[in-house]
Amino acid sequence: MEVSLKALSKQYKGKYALRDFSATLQNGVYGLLGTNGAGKTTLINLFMGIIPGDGGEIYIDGKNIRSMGAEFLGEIGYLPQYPRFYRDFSVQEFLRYMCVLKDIPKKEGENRIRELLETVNLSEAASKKVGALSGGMRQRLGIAQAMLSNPGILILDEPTAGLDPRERIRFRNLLSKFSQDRIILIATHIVSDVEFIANEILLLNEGTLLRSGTPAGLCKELDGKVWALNLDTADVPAELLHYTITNMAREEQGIRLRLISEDRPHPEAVPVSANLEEVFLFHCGEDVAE
Amino acid sequence: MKQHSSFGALLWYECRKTFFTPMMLVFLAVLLLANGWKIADSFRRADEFDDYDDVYSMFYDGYLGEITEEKITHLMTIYAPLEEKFKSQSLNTKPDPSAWTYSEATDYQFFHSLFYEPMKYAREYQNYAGSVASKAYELETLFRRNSNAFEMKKNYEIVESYQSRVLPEFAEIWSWELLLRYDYSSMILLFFTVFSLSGMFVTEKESDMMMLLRTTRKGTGATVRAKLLTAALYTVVACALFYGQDFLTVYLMSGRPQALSQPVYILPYFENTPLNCTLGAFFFRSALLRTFGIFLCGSLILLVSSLCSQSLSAFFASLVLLIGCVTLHDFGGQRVLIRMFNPVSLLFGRELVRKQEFVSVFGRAVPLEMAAIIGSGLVLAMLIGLIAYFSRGYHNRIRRRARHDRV
Repeated sequence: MEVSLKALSKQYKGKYALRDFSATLQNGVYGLLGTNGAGKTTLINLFMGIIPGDGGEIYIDGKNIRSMGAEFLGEIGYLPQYPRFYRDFSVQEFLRYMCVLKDIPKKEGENRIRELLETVNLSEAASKKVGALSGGMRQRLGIAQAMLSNPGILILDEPTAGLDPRERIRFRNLLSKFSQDRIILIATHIVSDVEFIANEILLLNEGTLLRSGTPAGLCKELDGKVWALNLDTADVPAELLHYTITNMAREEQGIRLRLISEDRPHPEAVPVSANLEEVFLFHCGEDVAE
Repeated sequence: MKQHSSFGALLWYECRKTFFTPMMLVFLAVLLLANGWKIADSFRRADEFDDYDDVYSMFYDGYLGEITEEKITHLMTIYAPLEEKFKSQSLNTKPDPSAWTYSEATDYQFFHSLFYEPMKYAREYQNYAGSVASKAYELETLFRRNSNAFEMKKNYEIVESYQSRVLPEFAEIWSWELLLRYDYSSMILLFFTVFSLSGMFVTEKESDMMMLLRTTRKGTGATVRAKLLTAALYTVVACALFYGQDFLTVYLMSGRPQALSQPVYILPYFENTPLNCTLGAFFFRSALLRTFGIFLCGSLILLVSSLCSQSLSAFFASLVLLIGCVTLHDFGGQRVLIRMFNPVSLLFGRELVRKQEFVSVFGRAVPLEMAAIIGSGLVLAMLIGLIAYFSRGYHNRIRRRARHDRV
């Protein structure tokens, strides 16, 4: 499957929320990284047809989605940002309802529900009310509903927001399970969510696509720009404050810093490999030092 | 293969979401209890001679049915002396063991309100209706000469309606008059409708389900249709429960349903009504009309729900809107346009058929009730159109536009 997003634009009150966004997605996991307000949700809403765009077209395997109608909706699974679903429904009842909405035949739907509940580890909570689920369980239910129609494209908007680290890791592993033979687009501002599972990162800032590439490729672009430095002082010296400090750890003997700089920022600084968080900060995070 | 996707399943889940919740069912039960208590209490208050039911039954059974000279003579033998004393202000109010009820004064009240007045009204009605018909005939002839089509048609309808009216039988009417004027259940229904329908669309937005619905095949058009149908089903069931409860309570407490098979104008309230159906048929059509009115109010609430983004604001906006409609009905109730287009006027459907009233629609004389039904139908169509517009996903709109472009 191939999805082509061509010159997508959206304005709110004359200000661009998304500007000329173009990308081609093939089977694999895509991390849509950006700060809050970067245009991630706008892009997803445009793609899902929830809001009208001000320009651009979307093609799936060469077909314009405008002409696909219900066929298009059958191709996608979607998990919105903060879904609360229906508190009074049981987990199983909710999934059955989603099967009705997605036009899935009854028998097929029942099998799929059983299968997915096992995969997301919610079989024992099948008769539990949605209102009684923890945040992590609810997100797992969310991904189960998104996977009901076995879609070719799975879109997740901030899927780990509000989850504790254990649930976050569990959720990531779940996504890896589902990533075979489909496009998964994860919009997030939490770098660790996509760092290890994304095949490609799309870096979005102020509605514009800044960079795209594999995590390793993007990190490589920063070779010679990320530095590690151990200092015996208790505080960061004033001359280093204007650099983007990506990490600062206090140790018994002083402080350990990682910072981004085009040139060696300090005589004792040594170049190190960049991580994805630093790529993100390099492109989007000017004010981190403050 | 049986599909999950049948519209029936969608309808079931909509009902499940909106009504089959513990809170909603408990609230419904509480309101039914409150209404049951209220109508029973109203009945007991209206039943002034409850303590003399044996006496009432004895006379009622004797006078029930065709009003004959013999029955009138029998009644007047008892009533005439009491009336004379009443006119001369010499009725004794002290307890009297020889009285049928408590005293002479209560005897007078008993016979006057329960037997004399209803029988007198019934006996004189034929003459009254005849005089109305002949007057209308004269006017019809006059307006025919003047080529005034509206007035001519209006008077023609009156002649047709009144010329053969007659009330040959006596039956208990006070209990049915009570039911006719009982509006508490409609007010409860309005409140319950606000409570149950104001969240129908807005909770989908609040829970982020609207986003999800819009990305599924049946989540937009079919879901909106299912919601509207659910609202209609809710209205029918809730109205059947409340109005059925009103009718059954009066029926069981009175135990005298004979008036239901009499013409509707057996009630003096309907002396000038354009209707010629039985009282029982009137109550049935009144319940249907009120159900339509509640559905119309429900559609207004659904529109508010589809426009608001918070349940609380949808609830209060709906409440304020309906209170506005009720106030408009109370203070501007006689204006034809308000009666035609205010959904609340259907809840007081008796007022639309109390008198012979006509509305000129393109020069044609249309009975007021019919005009109100047509007006309400237009309002309903407009509301449903707006709800569909505001609730359909963007995809549905572009799909329709794409189809249109291809054509």
